[in-house]
Amino acid sequence: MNSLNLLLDGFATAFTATNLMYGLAGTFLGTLVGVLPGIGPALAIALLLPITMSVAPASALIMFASIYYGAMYGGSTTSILLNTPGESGSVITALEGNKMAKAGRAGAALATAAIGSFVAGTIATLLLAFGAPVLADVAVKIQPAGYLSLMILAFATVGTLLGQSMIRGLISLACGLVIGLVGADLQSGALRLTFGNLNAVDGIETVTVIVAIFALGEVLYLASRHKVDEWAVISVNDKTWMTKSDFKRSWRPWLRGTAIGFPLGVIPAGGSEVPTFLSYAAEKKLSKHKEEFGHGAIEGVAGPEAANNANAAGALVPLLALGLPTSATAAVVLVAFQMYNIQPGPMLLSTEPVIVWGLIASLFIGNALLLLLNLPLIKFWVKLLKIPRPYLYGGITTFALFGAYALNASTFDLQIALAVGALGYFFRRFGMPTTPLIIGLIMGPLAETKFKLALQISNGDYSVLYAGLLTKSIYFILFMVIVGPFVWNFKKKLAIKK
Amino acid sequence: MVKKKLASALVAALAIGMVVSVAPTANANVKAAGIAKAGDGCVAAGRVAAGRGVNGTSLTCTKVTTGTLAGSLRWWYPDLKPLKTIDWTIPGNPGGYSLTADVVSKALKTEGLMNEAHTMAYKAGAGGTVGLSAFQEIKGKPNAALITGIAMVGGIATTKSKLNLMDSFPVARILREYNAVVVPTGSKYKTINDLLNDISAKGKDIAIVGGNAGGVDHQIMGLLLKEKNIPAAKLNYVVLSGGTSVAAQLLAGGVAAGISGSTEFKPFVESGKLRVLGVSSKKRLKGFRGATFIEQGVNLFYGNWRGIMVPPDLTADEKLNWLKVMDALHGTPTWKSTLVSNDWDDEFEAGDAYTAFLKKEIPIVNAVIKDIGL
Amino acid sequence: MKKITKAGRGELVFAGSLLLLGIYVLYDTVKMEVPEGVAVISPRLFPYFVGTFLIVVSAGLILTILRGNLAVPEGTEPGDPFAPADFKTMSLVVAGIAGHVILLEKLGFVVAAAVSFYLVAYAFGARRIVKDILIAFAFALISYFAFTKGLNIRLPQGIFENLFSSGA
Repeated sequence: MNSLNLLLDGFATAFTATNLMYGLAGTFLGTLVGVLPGIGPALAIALLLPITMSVAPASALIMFASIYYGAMYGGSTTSILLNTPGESGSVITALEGNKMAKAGRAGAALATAAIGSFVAGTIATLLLAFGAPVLADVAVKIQPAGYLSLMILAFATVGTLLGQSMIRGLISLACGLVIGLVGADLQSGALRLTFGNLNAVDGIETVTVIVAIFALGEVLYLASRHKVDEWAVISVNDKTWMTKSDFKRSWRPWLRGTAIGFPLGVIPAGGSEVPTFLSYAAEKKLSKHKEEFGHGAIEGVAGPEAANNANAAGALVPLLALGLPTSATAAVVLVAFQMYNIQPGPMLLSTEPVIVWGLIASLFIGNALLLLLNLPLIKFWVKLLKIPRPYLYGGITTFALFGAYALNASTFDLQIALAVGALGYFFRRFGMPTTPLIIGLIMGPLAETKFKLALQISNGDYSVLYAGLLTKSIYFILFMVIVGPFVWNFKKKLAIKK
Repeated sequence: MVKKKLASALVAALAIGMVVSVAPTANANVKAAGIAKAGDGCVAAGRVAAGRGVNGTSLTCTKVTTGTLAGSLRWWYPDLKPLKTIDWTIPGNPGGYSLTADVVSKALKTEGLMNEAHTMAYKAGAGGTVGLSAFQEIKGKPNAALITGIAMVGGIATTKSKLNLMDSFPVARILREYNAVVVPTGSKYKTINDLLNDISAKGKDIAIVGGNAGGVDHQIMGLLLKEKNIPAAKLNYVVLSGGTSVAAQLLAGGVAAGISGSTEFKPFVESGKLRVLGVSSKKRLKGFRGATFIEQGVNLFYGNWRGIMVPPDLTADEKLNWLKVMDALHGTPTWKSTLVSNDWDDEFEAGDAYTAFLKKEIPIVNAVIKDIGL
Repeated sequence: MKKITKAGRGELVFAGSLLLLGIYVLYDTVKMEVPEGVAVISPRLFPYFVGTFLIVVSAGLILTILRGNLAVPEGTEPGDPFAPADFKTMSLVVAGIAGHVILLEKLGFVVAAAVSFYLVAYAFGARRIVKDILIAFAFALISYFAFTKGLNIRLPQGIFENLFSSGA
């Protein structure tokens, strides 16, 4: 097996002293930031992006991978002990996990979450290691029009699946697309929406938008809610371990969660919201302890946590093999690659084998490190939750401003951060999901490039846009997804009338 | 007696042979004062190589005290003051510019030509003019430096910026990279002339992929057409985000040819996936398969150089010290191995020579940008 | 049509301004200067799509709101999500951010960071002035040295930074 050899080379890369250190630092920092309430993996990576500015690409990306997994572990800890999930993927974990913690079973909840994440993460990373090269081999021949159709499909699913109503998801997507328009057109140099500002010619810095919409938007929203009490952190009294029956009830949900989470990460389903919810629903249906659901059923933690982690690894498949991010977190990882002038896509595995396989290997290592670090250090992470909230928000705000400034050393970026922070507040206030905005912002310019590329290569012949089997089948799927529900409703109405 | 004489002659011959064979390795770098450059070896401390330093200054045979050359006698600047640090302005996102600034700084530090670690401020945007504009606002900072290159000269022309690179003080051009035009291995084009003739015949139906609009790739395509008297309007130049994307699109098919830095195509050429039609260097490159444009009768020599500028308000001494530091760096083993490991061509020019080069290069680039219609 | 609540009015204003933004995108695209003869494909095409898309969805949102389908704020913070916003606390946070933006290149990173840290902390109820200010400055100083010395990232210098770097 070729992939196996490459993976072993990857381990050699990851096991060098320097890279191991960056991996360890990444898991630590990721957990540290992920534990902080309200900070999910996407924001954690975005906040820590400047840290890698003076680090070699392989080490930096290994660090990101570790931050990625670390932030997810940290997030579940907060969901369970504090009921304040940092991101949509942990909302479901909080549902049962927090109830378990309140019932004095915090240790078991944390353990099933950590081990479930480890199991799911390891299986899913294996699937990634063997799946990404296969997909990349196929993808080499995909033409720009094919990419365009894939992106339109992703826009449609991300825009409609997330949030409380379809229209609000689409608004978010549209806002992202508009922000992505700002700056000089790549081909012609024509200026768009720059208001005559030289700083805006190269577009709005993605990292600034991500940091501002998550961190500043969050702080502003919390400020608007007036009363901020100290958190009631549930302390971990029981031994941080699971009983035999806990294990018996957990292992099937772990595997089922993996099976649900991974494929939904590969296809553009917009992140971990959908898979964790599906996993929860499946466990509720299959459980022998249905009565415990809503009062702290361990299956309700084990399944969604596994789904969440498997989903994260799944999202790396299209990211590495196609260069298409399917979740906000994957989008931030794409930005990290772009910072090093590395464009993920079908060529990545052949042009940057050291980086890619080093990264995949470090996901395995990071996952194992997290299991080892997380449970014994749980008391330390809990202490973090006891930082007085005023200082915490002061720190997050200042750190976010640093992140927005450092990339370009530009106060223009800071002004943008303030404006986008305000937008983030309105998004939260008016129930709009932020993921479609991030996806629109990052994939919008990519989609435009592919659109123009297809037409420029064909020298203006529009039929190229729907030529070929791939594009035709994707537009067919899209058509069914959009029209299907209407037909379904119409039939139901007819049935009711009869 | 005869035997003894023979024996002693043999010993003498052996001794001379040893001296002759050993001496050149031990003093491989020794250069006479008349041909010496900074960093070359020398034998008698205190001797002066008049006019062999940068801008007509003199080099002195000195025992170097810092870096990898420490302890050896070298043609050197005895009055050279190591830089305190360098505060770089990087006119782009992390990439070629920052890589160059980073390795220059690290080599300076290794060689004891700089004391403290450098800092970098990224000022990306508008073809490098955002960075240039920010840099030219810096006043009275002897450690400030800008990394620049042909892309910035092209960027100034493309954005019709009022900024003038020559408002800063040119220190040195430090390296050059060359570009290659490549096709998928199965392509019908065998030489650069095949491709250009086809463009001449079919115009915009022939799509060429390359790096950013107005960048060095685009300039070379424009110049190639000009050499063949093909109107610029016939060029269908498709902008992609860099060498890897160019290679990817070539392998995906649908385009005729691609252009990017030779180093970016190297792995694809070596694995036989892409074939080289021509290279923009004067002579064939080491470690890169492919004929030059010139060999094929297309008289074009053009490359992607990078250089260093500092603020114009430094004192004359400070400016001269910058030149000496870079000239000294150029002669060190660390810099030589840096060039090798990055596949860069040693095209070093400091001070007046670099200024003269820029004065010639800027109008050429401006004309090219105008020709390709930007 | 249901009676529009105060929160609904706010949401209407937001949706309305997005509609205006969409119209502005179209306007900006029409008056965009396109260099002649470079691009095979007009740089106007894609912005037309985006502008139209934003107009359509924000019109859709306005209709949704008028039909009485109001938003539920995102997130899981405890408390009444529909309680009116606390503008006093919010303005303090905005002042902290704006202070940072204005002061950064005038007085240097340490002062700017301490200002944003302190004002945001104050907004969230920190009231032990001396201790809070000390913590704010400690945070700013530690960050400054971590970023500049540890990561080689240059940050604007002011009195504090110069004080320390000349001593070092």
